[in-house]
Amino acid sequence: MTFQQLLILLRDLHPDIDFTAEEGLIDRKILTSFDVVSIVAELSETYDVELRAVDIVPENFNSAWALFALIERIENE
Amino acid sequence: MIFLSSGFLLLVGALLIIYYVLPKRFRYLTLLAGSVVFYALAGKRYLPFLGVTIVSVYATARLLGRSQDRQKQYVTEHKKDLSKEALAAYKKGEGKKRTAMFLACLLINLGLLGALKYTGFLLSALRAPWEVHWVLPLGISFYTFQSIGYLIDVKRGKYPPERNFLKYALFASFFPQMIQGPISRCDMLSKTLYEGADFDLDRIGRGLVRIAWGAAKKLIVADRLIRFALPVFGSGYTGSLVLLQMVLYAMRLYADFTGGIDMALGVGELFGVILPENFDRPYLSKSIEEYWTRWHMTMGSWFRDYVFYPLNVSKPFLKWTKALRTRFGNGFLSRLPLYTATLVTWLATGVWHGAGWNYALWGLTNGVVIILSLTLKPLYERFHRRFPGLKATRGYGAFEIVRTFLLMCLIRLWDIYPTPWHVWSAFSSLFVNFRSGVLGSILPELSVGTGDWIVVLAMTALMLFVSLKKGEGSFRTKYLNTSVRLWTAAALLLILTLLLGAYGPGYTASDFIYGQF
Repeated sequence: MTFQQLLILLRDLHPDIDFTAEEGLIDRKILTSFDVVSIVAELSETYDVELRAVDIVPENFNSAWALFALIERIENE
Repeated sequence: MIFLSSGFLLLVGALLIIYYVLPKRFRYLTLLAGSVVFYALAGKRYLPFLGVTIVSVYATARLLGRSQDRQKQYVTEHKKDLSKEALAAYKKGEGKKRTAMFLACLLINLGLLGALKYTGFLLSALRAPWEVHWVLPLGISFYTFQSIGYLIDVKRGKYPPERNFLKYALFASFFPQMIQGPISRCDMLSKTLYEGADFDLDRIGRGLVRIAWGAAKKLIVADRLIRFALPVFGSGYTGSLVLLQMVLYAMRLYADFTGGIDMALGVGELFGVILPENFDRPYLSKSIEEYWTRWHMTMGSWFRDYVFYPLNVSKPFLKWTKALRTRFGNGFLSRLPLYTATLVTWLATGVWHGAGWNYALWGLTNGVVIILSLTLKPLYERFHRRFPGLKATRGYGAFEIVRTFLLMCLIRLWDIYPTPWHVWSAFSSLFVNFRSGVLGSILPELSVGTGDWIVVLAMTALMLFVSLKKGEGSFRTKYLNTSVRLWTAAALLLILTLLLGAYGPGYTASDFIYGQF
């Protein structure tokens, strides 16, 4: 999965957010728990990336870059 | 009411002296001893139940940790001489053993909680010919869930288990959080719980301000409102009185619960212990979803992290979602797994609050309203596309806040009225039997004087003022940032509570509402 594909996925949820710059997606309550679950489902279905419950922590979802780093880590495991 | 008893004040005073006199490395032992004394004062018969939870969770976490270490060592040693499949099979075997240990511990603790809290209700629901009245240890729902959260974190490998039994026992039983939370996470709380704080008069002042602010909310608003908020019975419900009841209950619950949490956090601060915040101006939320990220935050995040997320990311749920999306696209039906997880989480949240149909229905109502708001989201978005700029106006923001507040008041009808029939009658009276004129004749007959109304409204205005001024930060950090301001505020709040609090002859400080959960 590429960073661009992740951005498209995120912009589908919140078109008004600049995901390349925002670093407080969870802390500033931009992403809700339902958004997080939608992202997890989409990653699993479309990109075969399977996140575990332990991966769902604010540090991994606060920015698109952090989430992308997590995805890369899982893909390389 | 244990937080405002002379015994509690004496205990905290004595602990403060001993804590700061002892060398730093022994200070956590003072807190542990204080927690044991506090719990014994609340009821000696509660101690064995707390003991079972502490010992079982500590031992299981240690076993889980050892198994994880063993696995790591084995994998490192045999990485070269074993195939990938053989290593995977070994890991799977170890994982199964850990799951068995984890489930056994879960069974002991949830079994204990379930048996003590729900047996009476279940027997009555099943119309059994006998009754049981078992002891319900103070804070059992809070300490059990805090302990289970710790065990899950250790099993997930989020952090290693605590090796020192006494330190773990303190985490599970730290006395300020035993009455009504907050539900702490070990990795966060342990940063300040074990290290032994330096003596800092200003920090103690900040703690005292928080305690005094909590006591003011509890004694000036919550306990005074008990007399206002009596259930309205009679030949039927009158909508205007039900609305008044709803709003007064919302004020009382807020003052009671946030007041208690303020006191707990303030007591923690006296010893340099930072407990997690449990509220973030919940009545200023603009949607129910937002409300639940601002009210009883530690409970909400517990259910989110340990029930909602695991359910949603479980293989069966992901497979189910995939199957539904393939068949029905991205519509309502493809979200059935998400909605099911929402309802399960909210049912569990409701049942956690207490044994009774009302609690379960309260939880389910929250779940249904959240699902409805999610389903209607495209409609809102269409509406706002049609009226761009409306959402950013102050007027619309105020409308959203009032709408969410009233919605939460409506859901709390399950809290106020005893049976589904009463809840339905009260709810329907808001629409078919409002009779606003009744208020004028009923209010003078309540055993509440004009002075009471003025005090409650003035204190409510003060709470609202503090909420608005503090913004996303802390009021004390922003405005009480010198020693003089801090100690003046503490003294003023104490005087205010002594002058206006509901105590003394004719009053009994009531238990915290959340203490019963």
